Amino acid sequence: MKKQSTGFKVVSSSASWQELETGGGLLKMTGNSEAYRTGNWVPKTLEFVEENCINCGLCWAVCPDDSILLDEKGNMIGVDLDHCKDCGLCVEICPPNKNPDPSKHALRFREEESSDF
Amino acid sequence: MNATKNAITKTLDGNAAVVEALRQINPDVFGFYPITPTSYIGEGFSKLVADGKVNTEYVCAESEHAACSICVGAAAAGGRAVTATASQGLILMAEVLWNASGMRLPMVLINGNRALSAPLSIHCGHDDLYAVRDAGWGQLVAKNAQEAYDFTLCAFRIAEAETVRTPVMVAMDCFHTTHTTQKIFLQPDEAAQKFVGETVQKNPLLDIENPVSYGNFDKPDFYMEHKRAQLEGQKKLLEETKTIFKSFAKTFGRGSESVVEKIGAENPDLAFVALGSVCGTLERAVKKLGNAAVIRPRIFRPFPAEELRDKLSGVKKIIVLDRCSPAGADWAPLGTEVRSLGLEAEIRNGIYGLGSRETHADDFVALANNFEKLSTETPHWINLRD
Ligand code: SF4
Ligand code: SF4
Repeated sequence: MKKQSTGFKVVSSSASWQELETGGGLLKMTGNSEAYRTGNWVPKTLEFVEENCINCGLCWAVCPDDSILLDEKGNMIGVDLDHCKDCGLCVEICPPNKNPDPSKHALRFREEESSDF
Repeated sequence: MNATKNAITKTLDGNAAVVEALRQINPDVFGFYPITPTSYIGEGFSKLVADGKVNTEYVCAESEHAACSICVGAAAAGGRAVTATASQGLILMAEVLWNASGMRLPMVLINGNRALSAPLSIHCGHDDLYAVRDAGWGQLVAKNAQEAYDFTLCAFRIAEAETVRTPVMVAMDCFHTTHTTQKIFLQPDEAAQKFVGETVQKNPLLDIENPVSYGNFDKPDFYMEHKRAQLEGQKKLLEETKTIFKSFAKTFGRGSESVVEKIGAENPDLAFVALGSVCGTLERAVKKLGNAAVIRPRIFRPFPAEELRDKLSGVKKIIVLDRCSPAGADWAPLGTEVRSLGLEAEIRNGIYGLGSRETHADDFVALANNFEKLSTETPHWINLRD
């Protein structure tokens, strides 16, 4: 059986259809879900207010998209906006967010930003 | 020609003819789930596997969806894969068909064109074939067991061609072809194998030195480009089919060279355009009519528009026959395609043979003789009680 590998070709984001590899969605790599920056689909942007955070880790536990960023010691340091899906689970579980004063919340959505797609 | 003399003559039905072709091809993987009328293709082939006549990995699936998915996986892995189905089975495979073509995987599917439920019919209809016409596959439509054999040999070569890399289905009519025993020519094994050739793997999944992943997600910034690139493969599929049909006729000294076959008068006044087994009946009808011809696309997707326009030029009256209901459109699928060719001729659409309703040569002769009375707006249903 003859074997043919077309070699690694990187196409730019402005590539025309003629430049694409044969095989819709064929990628010369595996384990690539992280490469998809699906965070820009969201209608609102999640904002982390560090000074209000009590570092409880609950947001990290509930996030279905592994988008809560921790430092090497396990401290909550921010949100991976390239992948966050805006589901709001972290916002809901975050203890400081129970405070009736929104300025004391540690995770909140900024409404003004719109999505790319 | 000598090559025809070398051919082996056998009496086989369409299913058995396909099994013979598959035995010669000896594909890597056969994913299968049985359904009338193509169950025998799996049954006959599994016997070859059991008898050690082929080294194919024969996988009994739990559904047609799975059978087709097995082939998609096998083709992505770099293997030559085939499945066979019909009717409801093809419809259950539908989701997977788009995946195979979108990923440019050159698998082959044999379909026994059968009417769709409900009401349940196990007889012939082209509604299954038409329903998946936009799946991005090549659709070769055989008129008899001989062509079912010939097309199976051609299909792998067409699908696997470097510029094509697009799956191909070989369609033959339920019972009229799958179960009608005919005298047919088979090429000797070696000649058939030489014609089909070896498969060329392109970016196979199992090449672990060069890892790839298939069927990845496209965001709006690339999906449209990929669909346009895919269309190019389909255009090339039509070109490649023309080349391979010519090469087949040249190598074996038989079979039509063209993607559109014309039988009957040289410069006919009236032409029937139809797909599949009915063309045999139409050949008798045009003999009775005299100045008439049957013009038969041997491929339905990609649609051979240029060749049809060429073969239909100068024809004054055209009756396009469809073996399916227009299902809400003005005309049925083949009728719509021919009407959109922009020909000068008067065109009518006839609906015939749904669920294998008997249609004889004389019915078509009567239709041609009543041409002026046929509606230009809506299709005429042949042999319908009303
Ligand atoms: S909004 Fe959802 S996806 Fe985004 S960080 Fe919070 S839990 Fe994760
Ligand atoms: S849930 Fe709220 S308080 Fe707890 S770590 Fe996350 S952001 Fe900080």
